Amino acid sequence: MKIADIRATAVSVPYKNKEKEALTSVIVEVVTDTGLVGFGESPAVLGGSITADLIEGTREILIGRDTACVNPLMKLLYIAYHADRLHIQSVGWIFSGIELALWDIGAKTAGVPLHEYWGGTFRRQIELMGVIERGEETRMTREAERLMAEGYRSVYTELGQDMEENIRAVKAIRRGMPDPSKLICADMRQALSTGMAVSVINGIQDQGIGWIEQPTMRYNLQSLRDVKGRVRVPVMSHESGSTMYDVLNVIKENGADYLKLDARFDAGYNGVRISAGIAEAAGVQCAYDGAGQLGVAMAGALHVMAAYPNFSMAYFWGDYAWLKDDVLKNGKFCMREVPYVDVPGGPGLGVEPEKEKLKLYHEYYIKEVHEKGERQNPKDPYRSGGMFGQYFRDFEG
Amino acid sequence: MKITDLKVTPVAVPLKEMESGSKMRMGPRVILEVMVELFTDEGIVGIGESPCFLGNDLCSKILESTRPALIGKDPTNVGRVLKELYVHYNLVHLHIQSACWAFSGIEMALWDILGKKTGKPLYELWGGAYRKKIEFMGGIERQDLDSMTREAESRANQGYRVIYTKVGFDPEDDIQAVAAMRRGIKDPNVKIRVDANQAWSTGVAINTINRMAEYGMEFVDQPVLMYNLEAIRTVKNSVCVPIAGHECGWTLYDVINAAKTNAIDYLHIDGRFDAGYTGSRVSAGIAEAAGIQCIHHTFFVLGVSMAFNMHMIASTPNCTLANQGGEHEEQADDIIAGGLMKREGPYMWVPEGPGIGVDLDPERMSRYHELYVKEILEKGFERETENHYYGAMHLRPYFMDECPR
Repeated sequence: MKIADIRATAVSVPYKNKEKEALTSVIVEVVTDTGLVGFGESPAVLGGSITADLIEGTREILIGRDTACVNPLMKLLYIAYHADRLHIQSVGWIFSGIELALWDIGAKTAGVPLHEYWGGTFRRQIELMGVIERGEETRMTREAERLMAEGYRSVYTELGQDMEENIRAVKAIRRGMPDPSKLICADMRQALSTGMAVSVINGIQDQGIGWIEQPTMRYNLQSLRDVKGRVRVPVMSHESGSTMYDVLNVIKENGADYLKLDARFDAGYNGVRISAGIAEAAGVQCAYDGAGQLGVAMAGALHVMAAYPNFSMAYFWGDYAWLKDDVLKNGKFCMREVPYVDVPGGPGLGVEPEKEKLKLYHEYYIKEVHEKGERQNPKDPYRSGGMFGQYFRDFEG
Repeated sequence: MKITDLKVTPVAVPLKEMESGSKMRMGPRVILEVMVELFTDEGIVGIGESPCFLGNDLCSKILESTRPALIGKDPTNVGRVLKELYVHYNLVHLHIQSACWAFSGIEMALWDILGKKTGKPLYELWGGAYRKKIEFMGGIERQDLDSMTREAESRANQGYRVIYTKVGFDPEDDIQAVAAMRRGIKDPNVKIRVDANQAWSTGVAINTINRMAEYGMEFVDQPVLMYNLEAIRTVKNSVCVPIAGHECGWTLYDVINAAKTNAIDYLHIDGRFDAGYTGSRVSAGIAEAAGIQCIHHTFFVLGVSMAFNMHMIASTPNCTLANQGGEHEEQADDIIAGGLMKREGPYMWVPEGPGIGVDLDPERMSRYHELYVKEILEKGFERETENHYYGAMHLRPYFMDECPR
């Protein structure tokens, strides 16, 4: 079977909360010469329209190629776009949707769900974490109470720049979930230096913490390892171990207790298989990243978590729950029973975008996102700036 | 002062025709770059140049998308504007190389504005020049052995003290190529530099480099995979030829790791793929603190970038080795006023005017923008101008059945 065409559609799907910026992503279709179509989704890192152009620009290389050669084709793309000269993450994300679509084709022609095609069904349902948005303390307490009542067994929140505020927030959450077996997990998104991270974590570690994610900046693995050694809660790497090459370095440093992985920003789905394998060899459990995905990439994520043994951890699927809709034929992924979402059955990815929705949300992307200036001024870099956040603490204008 | 507008112009500037067959080029022989102009409310215009990574069309689109983040900002606050762009494009979450290269032309323009406002050349803003006469290496493309001998001799006669070629293909071929070069270079003070672009495994690197040692090597660049610093350190400590880091030290974040592990003897710096030129000044500083000498990396850039690089080389104490930029000789023209900058053999001179010290030539800009549109964009050559198999090294062995020799 040969690749006959590559199509990429930038879409934006709004959230229930109108103030939140819509989720922009790019849906990929790999059309074969038999008429079979594989589906994928690439993150809109450089904006919807530029990302779609990049994906469709691969036509020259891919059209006419054998769909069975997923891994060699991906490496050919990496070579063509110089991903072996710069850090592979500079372009790997572009092709992740194409790769997922090729896997979809492979598993469809084999007549099995994708996770089975990848060699394993370690789990048929994935446990989700309850999400608590940072804000006023009594609201966070009530949120925690509500999530426990619904049946969640762990909650996720973000910790940021302000040390004391972080400690108060975690205590407020714990007041709403007094059962110590229900864990609080927090993402620090590289916000702090080693010293500050140690201070904050020491201030909260008697609150029943599941893990703290990426407390310090991604590139310094020793600082991550040092935080891990100085606190009494597990530390999870995320950005530090974003590709298989980085994962190896994290493991070599014993830099983390857990890894958060994401095929879209690894050397693809093949890369995340290797990342999980490196972690498995070291006895390290993995979680998956769920931010910024619509249902096609979400399905890919669920298949990854099903296929490899050490994805034993609960899943934070970003803001997905608050999306108004999805591009899928059957609508949004829903929990059959809180807090579990089912891994799709097959064959292939097990989900499909609906043509009408692609059209609708492509138009929404054009009118509401692209034409309104997809890139505005950076909002509050002190808070959104991750490892650069501290640099903007004192700047007024 | 405030930024009032941004202008983005992709161009294609022709190279001279090559005498013998090269394994490197496909499509028209041109340099592709995206020129940047930043306009201010005080009438000062800053110029810059971004690399065509991902294609001139796509680099241009990314640059165009930065407009809302730039207009109204104070351009003299170079560090702030740059970091805000990084935050805005999520380069604090993804690896910074996901888009930092596109903004490098903007950063050049910001520095140009600051230089023009203060009336100082950039090297002076950065603390003064250690050298104003800048030395470059002479590059030879891989070709048949006799041609390599002839070209090496010609380069040595031109005055080059370092002569460079790519390796990382078949080790036996690579050693023969180096031997061929030495046959053309009689003066033992003229050294050979080779660049493997991560092609080899550790064992092959050690074996091959030790067998090259007799030909008078200056250094071997990036012999092994960029992500594994222990591998490059192992090679360095197992051979008698100096080892330079390139891809393993792209950004300041990588350089600190390389310095911590004593992984390299020399370092390449390049603001296009570092966290900007601000980043590469930090990288050079880390190297200086570690006693590591630097080479300024570049590859087929135009006069604005060349001039900017020379300010960097001039003001960086430990840029003591022959720099990259030899391709400049192959250019048939440039987009700066006056055409190609003066060059005598391996030497060029850092400009003395305020800012970068060169101006864009409107007629050449227009002509080479049209050339880009007609001969590259419309003919579908955007991503074809360089033969991928030539430069793409650490994935190349996986395709031995497909790669041309």
